[in-house]
Amino acid sequence: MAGLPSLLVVRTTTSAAINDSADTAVIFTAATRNTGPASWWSAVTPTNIVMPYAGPYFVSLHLTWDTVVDVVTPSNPSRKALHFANNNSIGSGDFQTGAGVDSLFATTASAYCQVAEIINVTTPGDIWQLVAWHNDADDSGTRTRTLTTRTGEVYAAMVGLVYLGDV
Amino acid sequence: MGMPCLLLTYTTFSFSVTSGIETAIPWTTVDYNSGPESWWDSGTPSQIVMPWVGPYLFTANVYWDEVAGGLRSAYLVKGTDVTDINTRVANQSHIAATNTESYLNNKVTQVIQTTQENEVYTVGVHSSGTVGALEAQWDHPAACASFVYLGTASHGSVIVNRQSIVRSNFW
Repeated sequence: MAGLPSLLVVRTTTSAAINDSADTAVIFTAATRNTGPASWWSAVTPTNIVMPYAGPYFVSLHLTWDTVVDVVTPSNPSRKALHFANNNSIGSGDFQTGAGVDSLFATTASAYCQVAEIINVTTPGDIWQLVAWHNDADDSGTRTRTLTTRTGEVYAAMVGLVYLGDV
Repeated sequence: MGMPCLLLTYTTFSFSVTSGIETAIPWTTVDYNSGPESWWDSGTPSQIVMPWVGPYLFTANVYWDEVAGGLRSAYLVKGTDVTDINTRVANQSHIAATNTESYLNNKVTQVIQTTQENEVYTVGVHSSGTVGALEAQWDHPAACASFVYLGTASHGSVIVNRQSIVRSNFW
């Protein structure tokens, strides 16, 4: 029995800086598994996941945020979130129907965002990106958080894809 | 060989959920259906009619409006009675910390097992806050759900049947 085509891309290194309220595409560093075409993910364009087939995919998404304590007041704590965005663009309107969002209400330490979902890709070659976002502004209105990985813990970011349609 | 999938969304911007009332989601759109059309019918929009016996991967993701503090839940029940907690086969809850907690969402991922063909399942939501509504967030729909059939034997025959039906429509 042949397995289903699958891709696992990860960010193995820490310190991917995410500015306050700025949708930021995650830069992946490696594909630890790819049983589809090599074009599914390439280190040359490390933010882009190029869907090889039209149809349904199982998607698992993960981010590990840093452990810096929020500086805003408890009455207005920050959010940390991830999206899976279509069309090689991460502006408003590009978070497509059925794509995942996770959003954590983080008053103190590290946060792990995760989504498991099914998406429908309409056109082969569509580019998707994992997008990180937070709104942890300090008194000056800007703050940088980081995606991080630590010894013995999961990667800073991961995307797993399993194609569920007919190849 | 692909896996039969059903993707449902609630595309209307907002969906009111009365506090303390278990509420079924009346899905508005089928984004993808590679199984029989009977899997979901807009005439009975809350009901998902499982075509085959066996295991299914179920996922759901619902997004709440900025809410008062309290419990928010999303779950899957066997049958149409979303008030009967004894029929829940998947469930995820989150307690909103404050009334400023925007973008709150419930996510459910579960493998379920049907015991006979055409069993009906329903996705329910619950709010114990004084205000409750599902609402589209970040351009995502207010709610989406999916089912992937993980069985094998009947899967193959159904695909063949689907192709036969398509051909008969053309010829």
